[in-house]
Amino acid sequence: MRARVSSLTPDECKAIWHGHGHLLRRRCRMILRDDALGDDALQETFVKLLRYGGEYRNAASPLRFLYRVADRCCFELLERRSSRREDAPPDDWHGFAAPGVDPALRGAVLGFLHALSPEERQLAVLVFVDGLSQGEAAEEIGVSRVTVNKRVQALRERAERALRTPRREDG
Amino acid sequence: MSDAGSHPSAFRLEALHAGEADAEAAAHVERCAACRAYLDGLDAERAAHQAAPMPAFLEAPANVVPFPARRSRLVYILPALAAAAALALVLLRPGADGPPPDEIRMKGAVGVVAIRDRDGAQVRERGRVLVRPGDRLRFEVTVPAAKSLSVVARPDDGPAEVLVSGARLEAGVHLLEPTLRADEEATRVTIWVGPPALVEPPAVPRDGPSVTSLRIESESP
Ligand SMILES: [Zn+2]
Repeated sequence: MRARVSSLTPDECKAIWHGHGHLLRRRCRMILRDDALGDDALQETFVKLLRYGGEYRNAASPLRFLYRVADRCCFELLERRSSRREDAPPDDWHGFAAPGVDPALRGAVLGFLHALSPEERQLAVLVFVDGLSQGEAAEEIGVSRVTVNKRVQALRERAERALRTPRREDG
Repeated sequence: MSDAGSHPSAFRLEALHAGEADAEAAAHVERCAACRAYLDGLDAERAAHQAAPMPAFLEAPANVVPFPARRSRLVYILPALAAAAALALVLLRPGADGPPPDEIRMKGAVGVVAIRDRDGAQVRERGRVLVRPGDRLRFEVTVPAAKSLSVVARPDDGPAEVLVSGARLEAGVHLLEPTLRADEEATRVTIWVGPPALVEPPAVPRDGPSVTSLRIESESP
């Protein structure tokens, strides 16, 4: 059932590294809230691009395509890490934020990302990291706006709760 | 989010920074100091990034298996192997392309190959691989036909650790991730690959038609 996948050449990947590597690195480190782990995810992102990244050539938004691949790698690492309790994520990721993004809310959401379902995770990143509107997020993950609306509301409430009661955010 | 103000989303600013056309966002940035500051920050990060050398895993020829530049914090071989969580497998080469002839010794048998990286020099070993402290290992699992497989590490002097449990693998060559790193302790561990019922505890695995193993040992001091 899997469509035939095409790969990218090493030269194409080098060009991506050159032009987009810093954005991918900052994203991976932010999502995983850990520089070393983020760099592992970054490398996996390029491994995946080398193997199956051919669609990049036709992507409407090359950056969105790259972020999708990077997010998948981050979530895979997150799942592995979340099964190990002793490895609690650090407090916050110290990066600068775009003006439309609320860094506190973003930090709070990233703090419980591991406890979310895969679909909620993607939504959380699109809305609280990328700052997409709910309509844009609905389109990106292919669910209805009403569903997105409800889920974002729940995520926001959870984040606000987490911000009011520091520490203690378990799945 | 867009209702948090009139600024374009972080994503649109990043896409703009990356050279994607967005006249509306570009016009906004012209008259918004906050967004310009964000783009300036990204520009500075890009400049620093582009001044740094290309990582080895991109410079290296296609056949080199990438190893994380930093120490992988996920897994160590003995005694901390117990820290290993469930590992994922990356399909390297789909079976349709046909694995290289030496990858499969026996039709129907699963194969496992260790790739040992010692200061950037890589060797591939099957059956037995010798390690010294600092060596890093990755594993390739060759699956002739789609099946569910587990990968279990059994140290000689410790409990078995299930690295992959019942993963449904397509035919082809899969790269087991992440990296194992040999530490200072003497390492004696066997990696077992086979059907979950035959290799996962409480089963005591042994080599057979559907089970294969790889021995990892410290080089003698
Ligand atoms: Zn602005």
